[in-house]
Amino acid sequence: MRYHIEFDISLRKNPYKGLYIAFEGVDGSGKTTQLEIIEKFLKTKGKSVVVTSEPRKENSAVGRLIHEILQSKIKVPPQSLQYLYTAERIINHKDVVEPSLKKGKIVLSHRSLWSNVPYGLLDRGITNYDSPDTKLINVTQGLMSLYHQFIVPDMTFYLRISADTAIKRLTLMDKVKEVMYEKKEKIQRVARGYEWQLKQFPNQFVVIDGEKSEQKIATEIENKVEELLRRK
Amino acid sequence: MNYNVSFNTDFRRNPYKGRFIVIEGMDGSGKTTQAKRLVEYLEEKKIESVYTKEPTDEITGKLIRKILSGKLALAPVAFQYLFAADRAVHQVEISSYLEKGITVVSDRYFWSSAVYGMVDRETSKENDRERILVALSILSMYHRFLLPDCTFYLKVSTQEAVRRIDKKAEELEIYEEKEKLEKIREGYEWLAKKFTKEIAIIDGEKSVEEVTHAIVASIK
Repeated sequence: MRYHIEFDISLRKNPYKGLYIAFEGVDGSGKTTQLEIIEKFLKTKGKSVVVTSEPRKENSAVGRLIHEILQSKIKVPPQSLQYLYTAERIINHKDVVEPSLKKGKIVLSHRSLWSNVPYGLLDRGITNYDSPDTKLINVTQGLMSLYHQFIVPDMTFYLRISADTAIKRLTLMDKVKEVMYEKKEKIQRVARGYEWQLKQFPNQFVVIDGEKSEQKIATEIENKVEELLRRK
Repeated sequence: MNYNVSFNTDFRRNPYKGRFIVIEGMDGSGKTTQAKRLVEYLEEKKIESVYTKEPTDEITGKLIRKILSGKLALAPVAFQYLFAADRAVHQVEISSYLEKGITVVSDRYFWSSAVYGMVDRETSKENDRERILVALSILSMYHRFLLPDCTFYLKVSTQEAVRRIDKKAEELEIYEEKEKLEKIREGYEWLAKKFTKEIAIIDGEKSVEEVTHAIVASIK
């Protein structure tokens, strides 16, 4: 039972008035910090802002389950976790992202569908990014986004940092609860996954040097967001 | 921004010693009864066998049941992924038995997702069905879901299914509304025609003994 499959994948652009901005990067890259800074910045400018994350920690039974798994309270196979992420993304888009964008709000998202591939690759233990497996996972994710018509963020900031910096920050924060993903080797692999993805979709990301000072990064992000606001 | 994609995909065949048998059909078709009877029969014949089911009794399966009973609401498409998440858990269990040479009889499997996925998308268009099937086949390849050695579809009419469900007089699960059952029946018929080599149709309206007999005869 062999199927030949051929089709076009197209990413669904945001058709609404609102703005959809996502923050990506390995754990410890500063996503939360920068998201909070830009949130305040936009609010002082009188913008209506909605903050969400993928997965959400609250208001979602699936999101809660994912967090419990990440904290290793419950064990499931990695593939299972990937499906849960997709389930949670569907609900988040339907309940939070789309309605907010429709109303013209600015949606700031802690992670997005762009987390899918780097973490999916990690789960499959893929290290050779030219392998057919990589293509397959990309295709699968692409197909899912086509099938579910997930809106792709208008702008995605990728905060690039070294694994050493990530580990240092995570230790400092004393926030190493999500044990599963936060070991150095894993961080390195996720980072490689992100780099691979940046090459595949160069127009989708704004790469930020996450090693710079918090303030410098914030200014950089503010400038980019203002640019985006003018364009919209 | 368009990306052209082209490749071949295939299901993963069971590489283990144990046999992997799946019983499918809509609610009220007799799946659970028959799956359990089949295990008993095989055990009598000194063939080590286990009964498994989807949704499982693991954390993912429990969440599914909560939604099925209406205690928790979830978008239908998201719900399908929950099933897939639970299936990934189930797969580990299935493989562990098959490896040891134990025969696995599963009450529902990924075929259910194809059928229920179609109902949830409210699609009857051939194109959409194909697309869902393709999506599922890619996913099954991607996640290495095993193709069963044989799948039995217990065919019953919607009226018969409704009659049996009423008799059980349990809390109606969200899928067990009559029109939905009819759509699910159509979905199974379509799937059985599409995968003639993989799915054997069994007349589920016959007596419990006769149905078991038909399944057993078909396995040999």
